[in-house]
Amino acid sequence: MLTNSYDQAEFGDPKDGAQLNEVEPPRAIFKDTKTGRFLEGNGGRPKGALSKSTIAKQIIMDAAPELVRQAIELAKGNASMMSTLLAIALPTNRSQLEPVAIPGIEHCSSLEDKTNAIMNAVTNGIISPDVGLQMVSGLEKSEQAHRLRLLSEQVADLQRKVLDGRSLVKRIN
Amino acid sequence: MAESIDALQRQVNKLTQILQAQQSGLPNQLTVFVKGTQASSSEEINRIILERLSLFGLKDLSDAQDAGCDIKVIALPWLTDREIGHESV
Repeated sequence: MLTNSYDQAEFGDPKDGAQLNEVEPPRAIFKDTKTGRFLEGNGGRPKGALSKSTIAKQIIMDAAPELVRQAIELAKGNASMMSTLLAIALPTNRSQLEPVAIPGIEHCSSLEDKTNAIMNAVTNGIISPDVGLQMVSGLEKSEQAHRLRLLSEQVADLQRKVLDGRSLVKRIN
Repeated sequence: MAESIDALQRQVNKLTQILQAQQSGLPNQLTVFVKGTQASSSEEINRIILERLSLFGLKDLSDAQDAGCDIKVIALPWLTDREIGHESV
């Protein structure tokens, strides 16, 4: 079953530029309803045609200066809007690369001792709480990786022993 | 990572049990005799096998096979209650 011819206005005309108010209501596309393929002479979307979302973005970008001016006006006396605008305007704080020295940590062997040393450093104001938290989290991950390696070795060792142990199993014939 | 640790720990526990079973004299063939009436219930046969395996600290049929022990079940209708579960050695 055949339907109407391809509607170029649905995607915007590449020659005329993107004008949403000039877009006509979409008509059915000239294609086979069974296979969904365009029929001969209808190549589908023309080269360089703009998608609906691109057209919408262009319209918004054109209106952006006016929108920002209106947002600033609205923000006067509106804490939520002020917060939104400031979040866009101000750069996000990122962690800085700086050396951290924890007194006595080099003598700690257990995870508990190392955590205590970090907590002492936080308590004494040597490092900030968020840095302390990151360090403890890193220690936990390191400990987990260590445990994973030990367990893997243990499993491999046990598997070898079990295979060897099959010769120990009492023979009954 | 925590899931991997748990999985590996379970594997260690299982392999340790198997190793202990091997060292505690697990036979390479475990024949379990069941009465004719018991043989009609797979759950009952399973219970009898697991009871025998528990003597070696094993909780699973696959653990016994991993340890190198084959399990045979023989149904004997004339077997008395006292003889049920005895191995064939």
